Amino acid sequence: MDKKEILLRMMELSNLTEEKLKSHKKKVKAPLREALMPEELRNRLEEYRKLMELKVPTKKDLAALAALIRQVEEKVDALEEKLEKLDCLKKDNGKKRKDR
Amino acid sequence: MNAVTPRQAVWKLNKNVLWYYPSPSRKYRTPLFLVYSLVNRPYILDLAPDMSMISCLTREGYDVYLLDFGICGYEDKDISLEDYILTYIERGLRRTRIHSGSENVISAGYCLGGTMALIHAAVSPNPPQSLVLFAPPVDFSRLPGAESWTEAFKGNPLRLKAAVKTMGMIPAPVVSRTLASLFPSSADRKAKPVSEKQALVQRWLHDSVPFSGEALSQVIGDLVFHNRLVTNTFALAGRRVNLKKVRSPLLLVTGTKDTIVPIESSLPVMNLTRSRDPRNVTFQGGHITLAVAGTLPPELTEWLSERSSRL
Repeated sequence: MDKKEILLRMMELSNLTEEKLKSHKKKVKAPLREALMPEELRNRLEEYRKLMELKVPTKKDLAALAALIRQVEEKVDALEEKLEKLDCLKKDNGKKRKDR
Repeated sequence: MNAVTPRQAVWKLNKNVLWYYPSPSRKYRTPLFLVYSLVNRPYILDLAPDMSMISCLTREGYDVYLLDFGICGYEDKDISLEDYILTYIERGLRRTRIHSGSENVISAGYCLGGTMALIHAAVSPNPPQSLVLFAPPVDFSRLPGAESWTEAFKGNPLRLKAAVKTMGMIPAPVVSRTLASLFPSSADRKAKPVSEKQALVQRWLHDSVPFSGEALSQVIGDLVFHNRLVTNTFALAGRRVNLKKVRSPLLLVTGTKDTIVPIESSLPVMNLTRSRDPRNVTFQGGHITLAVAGTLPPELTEWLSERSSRL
């Protein structure tokens, strides 16, 4: 399975699992115990757990990475701004000297 | 869509671009720094050769700088008003000063961009020397549809934070449809355009951009629901924004037929700030008339000229 397939399968499994868990909880009206879990549900959870272990980056992971990149860009920008200001000062001083 | 007035990018940060529109016949040393809204795209200010506010300004002899916030993606879902105002607008203004070589800059904001330019002027350590606000929403309770939003929050059928958390970004079609539902008068989007100009405007109306979930949550929660600018309780990065700190000359430009941001929503700014020279110019027209009219009200050009240093 490629990354996209894994993520899609995880989404599919998590949705189904959540739904089934809810309906199952309603039906039994008791805390869910291992013994009460139907075979299919247990298999799905197991598959989900295995896919989780692959640690495929999700959209949220990429967003977190983008936020880090943004921070770095902002720091670089602050340095660039300082350099540009220095350049401007040098140019101004040069002009003043020439004017003299 | 390409700009019609010649321009060049002079600064980029994340997805923000600072565009520089040099004047073909520069008369003033003082540049104009334009801040556009977060809702639609800024090319409405430079739509066609005879429908360009930017071109009008450059022809008047001003160098113009436009801060374009770009188009947000899912990765920008956490960008807040703090980022827009304290980072992007603040740095954009500083870069305008460096690039133009002029410490004196006139900041001009359109619509929500006007609201952000106003807040920025109140919190910046080195605010712009003069401020022009084109139809800025300030008293958000006076916006059409504001009551429905407030009701929706009070009754709690609309769980904004939960929706924002789930979606992250508010997609462009949702922004577009929400605007259409809020401002039906302005958004007769299915009507066939009768002229080429109208077609261009309609195309722009359809061209909404995604809204960062975090920023939208602040706009709707703080500005619309709690109306915090009017109650003087709005805070950025945990610090209260005191509009009384705005002392610079202020020109408010409003349209008599503006149904999106009615005059009564913008007017309170005249009393909320402590501008040493507050003025209000009202022209015949709607929310985007000035952007696409191809001319500027004489009161505006006079005001700008009086506050700019001549070359």
